[in-house]
Amino acid sequence: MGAAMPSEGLTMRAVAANATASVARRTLHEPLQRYLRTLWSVVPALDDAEQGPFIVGQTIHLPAHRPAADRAGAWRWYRASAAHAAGHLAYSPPVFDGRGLGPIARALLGLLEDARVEALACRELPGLRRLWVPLHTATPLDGDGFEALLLRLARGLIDSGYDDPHPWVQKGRRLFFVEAETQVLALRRPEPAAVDDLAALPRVGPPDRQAAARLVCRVR
Amino acid sequence: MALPLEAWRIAAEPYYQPAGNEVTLFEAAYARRLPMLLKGPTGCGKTRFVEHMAWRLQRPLVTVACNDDLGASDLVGRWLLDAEGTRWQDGPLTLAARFGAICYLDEVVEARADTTVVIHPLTDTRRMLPLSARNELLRAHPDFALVVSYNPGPSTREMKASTRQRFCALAFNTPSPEIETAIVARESGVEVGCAADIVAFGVRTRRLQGHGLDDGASTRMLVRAGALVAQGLSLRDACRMALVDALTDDDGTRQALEAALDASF
Repeated sequence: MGAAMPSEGLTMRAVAANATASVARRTLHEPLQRYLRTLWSVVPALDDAEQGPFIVGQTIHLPAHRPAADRAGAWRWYRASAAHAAGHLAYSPPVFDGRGLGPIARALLGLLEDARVEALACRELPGLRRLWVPLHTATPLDGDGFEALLLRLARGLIDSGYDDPHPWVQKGRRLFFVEAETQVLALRRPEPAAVDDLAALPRVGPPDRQAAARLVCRVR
Repeated sequence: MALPLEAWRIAAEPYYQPAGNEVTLFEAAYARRLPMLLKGPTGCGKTRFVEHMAWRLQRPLVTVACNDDLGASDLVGRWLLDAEGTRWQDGPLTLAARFGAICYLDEVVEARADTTVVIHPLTDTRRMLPLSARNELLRAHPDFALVVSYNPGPSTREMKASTRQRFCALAFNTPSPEIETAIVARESGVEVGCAADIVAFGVRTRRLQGHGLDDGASTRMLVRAGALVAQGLSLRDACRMALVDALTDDDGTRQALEAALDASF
């Protein structure tokens, strides 16, 4: 969910503006753990964090409170976040060696791994797509900056109904979906050719390294 | 005049999908009239297996659903009083022993221990049943065999060792997903793809065994979900009715299963 976080941050601020209450994660702890156990037999520990979600070892860290207009909305958000994180535990390698990569490449690899995990998860559990697609809200109206393009690409990789006109987003989709979209790109090691190809962003301004650093997925 | 126990004969082959060589094993035990104990989770096919074997061996099948109120006379028989006086009525165990049927005591551990001990003389080399109420010593028909079943588990009664050790045992488990899919498709009438989806969800419920559920969905429950789909319900409605709401009343567990159902389809 790394690449989705800034958009999600926008979403969170919008929800918070309309929310009159928040829901504590701990009130959903037991159903959340049982939910994850049914999906992939993973049994991660759940813990609170100021921000999240993120994974450390076998522990999924989620925000302690979720601003939400209602408990059902909070439950849906926590499910989506926890399922995405648990998907990494089920499908991602334990350690992804990102040494020697710059922040842009790391952000890209994180985005691609997020998308790969979600693609595999949706193949096994098609209902998860309904849970995740609404969290990807980037559109061309967000602009063509680095951060916005990454979020637009992330949306393009999960939402088959989203048609982004930007050539770079379209290139990313072509690289990601292989073999007539029956398979997805899996980068087990940083592959300079693939990453450099995709990292060749159109010149829109000074490289936004701070934005890339914010978006670095949990590559550890 | 109808032959005894004709009403207990199984006319058509009950569908049964073997998981291993249990058919061969049971046939070998029956050839020597060895008493059989079938154990396994509820709804995994033990009773269907007994029905299939009774049909296969062409024996009548007398079934008793054991419970805590079952007394020895319920198995053996009792004197009845009617307009013509008193008459003896054989119980199901006596009927089977007298006329050569297979007697199946389902959920045998649910019966009290002082009831189940009446089967002891039938389960060793004596093969006899004392009917003290009518001063009769019944020697079992050569074709008589005894089969019992129960569901092992932490909340299940223990069977007395003196009873248990009189039996040979077959352990049953939930079938593999491939076999279970074939069973659900055949028994419910849904297509194989739909049956596979139901089985996949059933597998997910079993991951909560010991974590909110005593047992996950049984094969029987999955067949019922398939039957509801065949009747026109959506997969989600069928699985909610036959599996989620049938498995638990606990809010947290139900919430997790409902979410898993949403993720599955």
